[in-house]
This record gives sequence, C-alpha cells and structure tokens, in this order.
Amino acid sequence: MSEPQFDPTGALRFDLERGKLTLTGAGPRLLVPVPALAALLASAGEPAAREFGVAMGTEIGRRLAERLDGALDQLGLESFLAHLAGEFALVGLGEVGLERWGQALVCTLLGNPGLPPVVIAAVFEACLQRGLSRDAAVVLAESDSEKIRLLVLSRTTAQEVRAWLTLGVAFSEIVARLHEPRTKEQAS
Amino acid sequence: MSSTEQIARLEGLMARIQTNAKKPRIALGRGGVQTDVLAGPMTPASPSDESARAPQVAARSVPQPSAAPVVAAPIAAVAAVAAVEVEYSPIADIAVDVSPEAPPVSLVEGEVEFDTEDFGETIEELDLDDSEIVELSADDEVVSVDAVDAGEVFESEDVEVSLSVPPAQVAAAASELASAALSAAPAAEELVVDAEPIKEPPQSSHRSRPLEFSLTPAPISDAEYSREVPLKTPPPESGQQPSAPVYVSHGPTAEQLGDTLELDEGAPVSLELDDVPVAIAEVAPDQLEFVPPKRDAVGTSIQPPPSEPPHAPTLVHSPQTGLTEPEKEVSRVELRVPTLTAEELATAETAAGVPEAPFAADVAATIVADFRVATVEVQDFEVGADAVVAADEAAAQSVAPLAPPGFDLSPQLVHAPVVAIGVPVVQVLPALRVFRPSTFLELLDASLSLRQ
Repeated sequence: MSEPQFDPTGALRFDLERGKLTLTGAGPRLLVPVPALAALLASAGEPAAREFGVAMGTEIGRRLAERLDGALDQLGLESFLAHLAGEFALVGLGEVGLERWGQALVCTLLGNPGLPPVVIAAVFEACLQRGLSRDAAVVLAESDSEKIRLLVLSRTTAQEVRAWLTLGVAFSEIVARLHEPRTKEQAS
Repeated sequence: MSSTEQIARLEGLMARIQTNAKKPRIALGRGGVQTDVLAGPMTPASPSDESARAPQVAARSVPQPSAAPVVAAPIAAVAAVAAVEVEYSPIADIAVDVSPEAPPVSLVEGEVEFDTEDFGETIEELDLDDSEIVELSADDEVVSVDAVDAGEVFESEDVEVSLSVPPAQVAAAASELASAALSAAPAAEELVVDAEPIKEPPQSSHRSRPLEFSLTPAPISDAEYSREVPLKTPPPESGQQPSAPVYVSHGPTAEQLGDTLELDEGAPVSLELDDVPVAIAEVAPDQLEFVPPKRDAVGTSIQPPPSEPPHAPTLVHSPQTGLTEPEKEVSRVELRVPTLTAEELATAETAAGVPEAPFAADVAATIVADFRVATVEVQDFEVGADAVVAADEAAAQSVAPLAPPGFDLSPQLVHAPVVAIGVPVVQVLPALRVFRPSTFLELLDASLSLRQ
C-alpha cells in the first residue's frame, strides 16, 4: 500500500467575485498583517494567545486526520512530515521539521512569521491531539529568531522539562535526562 | 510232576543262572560290532536275527541311582557306552514277557521309556539245555515276573515256560531268582538309562556319611555324647556341634588339703619407699617441624652432608627485628619477617633492581626455608587485586636480597585476596537497542513514554 502524498491542489480558493477566501475543508479565512496580529496576541495575554494557537492547531489536526484517514498508523516519518508541513504551509506558519533525539520527538519550525512561541507550541500541541488522538504536551525547548525547537512529551514529563528549563538546563542535558529512568524519589 | 519237583527244578535253574551270571558276558553292538573288550568268539548277528531273538523286554523307568554316566544319546551311541561297566542299584518291578509271540511292550513310567529293541545290541546268551526247560503250564498265559535285574536279558527261544504250578508260587520263585541274579550280576551294559546321579559319595571319598543316613545308629549315652568331640566336620544340617566338656575347678577338696593351720594376720607395717622422681614427659616435637639438634649437644662443628650444597650458615636479617647474627642450623632455617613497611619494600626492590610497585600495605611475611624450599605467606591485604599481585611480586623480590649469597630461595607466594561478601558480582548489561521507528506514531509513542 502506497503512502498518500500531500496534494495541496485547490486547497485555497479565492472567490474574487464574492471576496471570500476559503480553505478546503475549512471555513473562510482572513489575510491579516502579522505584526497587527502579534500585537493583538501580545496585548491579549498568554492564555488568550495560547487559546488562539490551540484553535489554529485543532483546525490543522482535523484536516490532517481527514487527509490521512485510515493511513495514519502506517505512515512513515517523511510522509507524515510532508502532510504536516503542507498543512502548516497552507496557513502560512512556516517550515515544519521533525527531529529524533533518541526516543524524543522534536518538532522544529523555521520561518516563524512573528507569532509568539507559546502560540506556536499551542498549535503543535493541538494539532497532534486532534489529528493523532494522543495526549501529547509540547514544550518549547529552544527558540531563536530563526528556529523553534519543541519537545513532544507526556504531560507529566513536560512539567519536569519545564522545571528544568526554568533552572537553565541546556537542551542536550534535557534530552539526556529524558532517557534516564525515573528514580523512586522522582516518581514520588 | 509234583509241585515239589517243580520247585526243585526252579531252584536248580536259579543256581544255574547264578553260575552263568558269574561268567564273563559278551556284548554285541548293532550290526555285529563288538563293543566288549572281553575275548571270545563272537557271532555277528544281523538286525533281523537280533530282533527275532531278542526278547521283548520293556523295562520300566526306574529311579536309577547309579554312578553310570548319564547317556541320553541315540541308539547308535549306546554300543559305545555299553562297554562301560555300570554299577547300579536294584531295579524294582520289571515286567518281562518271555513269550516270543508277544508284541513289543513299552511300559512307560515317569519320563523315560525303554524298549528292548533299542537296546538289543547286547544280549546275554544263556546256556540252557532242553532238559532244563520247565513246563510250567500248558496255557499261553504270560507270566509277569517281578524281575530286578534289567541287565539280565533272556533269550526267548531257549526258554519255554509253561505254567503248571500256581501262579503265586511261580511268582515267588521268579522273585527269588531275580534277587539271586541281581546279587550275582553287577553289570548292566544293556541298560543305559537317563538316571539321576547317585548321591552316595564315591568309595574313594574319605568323608564319612552323615549321621542321618546311618541305618543303625549306635546308642550313645549322655556322658559319652558330652565328651565326644566329632573328629570330622559335620554337615551344616546336622545342627549345633556339641562343645567339648568344660571342667570347672572349685579348688582343692578338703581331702586334698588335709589339716590346715589358720594364721593370724600380722600387724600393719609401713613401707618406706624411695621417692621416685616423676618422669617429665618431654614435649614431643611437632611432626611437621623438625627440631634441629642443640648446639651444646652436637657442638659447633656442624657440617652439612657432603651431598648437599653448603646452606649453613644462614644470615637472617630483618630491619625491625635486627636478627643479624648468623644462625648455624644444618637442616632447617626459619626466617621470620614480621612486618615490612612500604619503605622497606621499596629499599629491597631498589636493591634487587625491581621497579617500585604501588604497594602501601603492611606485609607479614613468614619465610620457612627447608634447604631449597621457601614459603612466603603474605597476609592481610586490604588493597585491590592489582595491588595484591604487585605486592606478591614485590614480596617475592624483597626476599631475594635477604637471603645470603648462594642461598637458593624459591619463594612460593601464597595470598588470599579479600573478597567482600554481598557485592553483586554479576551485572547484566542489556543489549544495545537501536531505536529505529518505522512510523511516526511509533516515534510519537516512544517520546511520550520517556521517563514514565
């Protein structure tokens, strides 16, 4: 069985007569300037910005699930990345990539249009939850002007990693700690 | 003819038979082959003649206590056996049919069947005159004779028996006749039977017969029995052997003693005994350790055996004990180095040209040198395995400079490494698992399971 290829043909439809922009399988879209949106999100606060990101991620996850209906379990890394990156590209969020650090799944994003990293993390988290039906937690591990690196973990592990991040633990050290077994003291 | 005359004739016949029985007999084999070693003219008899002349005698199988060899061979082999002189016991109840017209009778009793046709090779020829023929009866009644001797074979042609007397008398006469023939004719070459070997011991045996086999045991009184000791070993089934009488002496009798005088006991006398010095047992030397002779006992001019190299005197040197005086001992030299510090070892190693070993433990070395045998015991190690090995080598090398020149020390290192109890010796390392997810969901699940 061949893996489904990402086909963006006709995904966006501009109805110039009616002045509507639609995305296949989704509702109407709006082209807004990113700085204005970023200012709005910044003024709205982190929870509101996070809710904004969850809404975007849920919409991406739903379309992803609809595209990969029945083939998601057998989809390889590259194929899944192609579909995921295609969906992110359709909405203009940048270039999505996947990294594997041992057993740790790391999502990267290049070309962030200017949205806050919290919003980006929320988009990824909601996409995986909606599209793959996994209770995943995405933790912002590294972020600079060009690339955002996000760890996909469980909710309990994500809390530990956030604690390590507040302590200033480096990303490589976090990855190493993630592969160590949890001691009894840590489990309690 | 009266019965008395008949009986007299029968007795005469019996006497004649007895006379003939004492004569040497000739046995003929089948087909005219002479099997007897006795001399005499022989007339080979054809099988037809033999069958015609041979009386039809069927001998019952009788328990045959005989020393004869057991022969169960075919008839052809009987002739060869016939020459063997066979001694056997009386046979009871042999039915003899002397009438020539009587068919062959084969009486079976037990397991063995005898037929005279098979044994027809040897025939006893009896010289009977016609005048001696006794007509017992005109009837053709077959007389059944309880003969005894199976070896006596009658020729039916020469014997005509007519029954003119009561059968009871004839039977009695025949019985007597058979008994006489039995006592007179010991040989029975004609009968080769498959009999049990006789249990009676051979005459050559010097072993006395068991007591229970004695027919007329002599009465033995109790006194004789108590004093009688069997000269020969009785069989085990004879029971417990009577023991020899035991004579119990109760001392001399009054008659033997006669008049006796009773003496009073004397007054107690104190004995003066010299005090014997208590011999102090010398402490036996240990068997494993040789005690050298004392210096004052053997003097100072002790020389080793000529065949051995000059080992003595031996210089004993220890930095702490200060044993610098030479000990002149011939057979055994014991060197004790209680404690060697690291500095001392280093000094010794430097002198021996051995590189300094990482050794920092006290060494209690006991050097026992028996001529060319030396043992070094290194104890109380509390260092690692490498240090132990190094310490052993260092101790071995450190002994060398202590020995006098020309003294062949071959130290044997004995050490017991300290092994902590309870330390997990076995550690199982899991195989390195290369995680290569084939699907994205597999990678996602693996990432979600981290630290779970």
